[in-house]
Amino acid sequence: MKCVVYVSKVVVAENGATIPRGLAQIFSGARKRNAMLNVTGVLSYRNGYYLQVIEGDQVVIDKLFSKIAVDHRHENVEVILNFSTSKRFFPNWDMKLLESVNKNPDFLNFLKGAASELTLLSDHQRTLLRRFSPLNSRVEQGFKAKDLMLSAWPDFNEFNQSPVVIELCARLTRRSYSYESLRESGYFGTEQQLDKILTKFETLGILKITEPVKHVEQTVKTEKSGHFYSKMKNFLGFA
Amino acid sequence: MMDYRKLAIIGEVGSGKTKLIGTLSEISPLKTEAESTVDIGKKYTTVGIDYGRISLSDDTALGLYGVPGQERYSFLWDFVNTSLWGLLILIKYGEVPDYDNLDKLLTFFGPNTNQTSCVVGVTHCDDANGDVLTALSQEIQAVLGHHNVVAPILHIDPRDKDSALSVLSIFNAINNQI
Repeated sequence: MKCVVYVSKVVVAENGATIPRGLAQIFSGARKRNAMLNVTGVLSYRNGYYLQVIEGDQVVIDKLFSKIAVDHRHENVEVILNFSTSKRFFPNWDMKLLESVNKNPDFLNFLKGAASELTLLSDHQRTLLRRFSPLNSRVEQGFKAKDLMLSAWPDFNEFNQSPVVIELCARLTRRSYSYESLRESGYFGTEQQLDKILTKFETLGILKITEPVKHVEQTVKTEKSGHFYSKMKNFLGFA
Repeated sequence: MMDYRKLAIIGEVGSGKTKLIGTLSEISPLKTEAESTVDIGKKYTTVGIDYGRISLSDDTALGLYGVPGQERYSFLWDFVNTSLWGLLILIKYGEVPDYDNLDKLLTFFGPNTNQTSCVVGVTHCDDANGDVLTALSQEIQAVLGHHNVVAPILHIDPRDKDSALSVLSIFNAINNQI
């Protein structure tokens, strides 16, 4: 039995966008194919790069990877790990899509299990793996005296869609706010509760943390727009 | 003076625009459907603007405008692109989205530059696989990111009133931020 880990790049579109075009289909196809071949593993996408782990019978994995390597839906396929193993690291998953490998216990166990192989990686391979792995995690600096804004909303497949989370996401959608203003608003629970949500956002890579700038109080919310908001809120409350 | 805003609901064929407006509108929606010439799983499809309305008070109302997402209807995009309260993009689960067209749509409406609140609604998720939905969200997120658009991607059921109202609630929350 063997295990292969590779990283590849999304094919850049003509307009310069790096879109994992067809990821949903790639995942669905891989899951069905792997079930037939008795192959297990994980797939992850992050900022223009794919990471995939496949494990199974040696001949099957070699044949499968040779097909994957020439698939036109990705490019620059680089093998990170290729080693024999006596056991599967992901025995229950024909293919699991991991949005964040760095918070998945099975993937962390995999890294521990492959520790000796990981020591043999070149700097270049380490750099590729850091795009996904906990080696990349930011040293915890906290949020105090920082400005915060979302670069994307969380995936509600993975994240509890509570009113507080929705309100915080809405707040951080259009511009940055200081951590202190969020905490003092009282809308987002206690400091610990706020920190917990923000830490999750940070782990997902969707929180922009910047040095504070002096915010000029904007008057975008005119009396008229406030009026509309109130009327809509009233409507939604009674609808 | 009447305070009137527009919610533009844009999506490809069969994404649920007409149904969503029917669920939300207080008036019988004005539909501009025609018999489809290709097999899209239903007999009729929108060829113009679907219109509905929600009165919030005597002097406040939200107009609901369902517009086809294909670029050949971009003259209709022009029509709704004023006084926008929000831009709702509907994407049908189970089909590979037309990302080139989505790219054109986001370029046209420019939610980031125009400070227009944007929400993406994925429809037809009843029997969806959770991981496939996550994968689809990552694809859509990459397109939004290319346009610097920060927007939630929600799973919505256009037939369900609570689901439809939750979309309005999120638009309202985003619009209330200064």
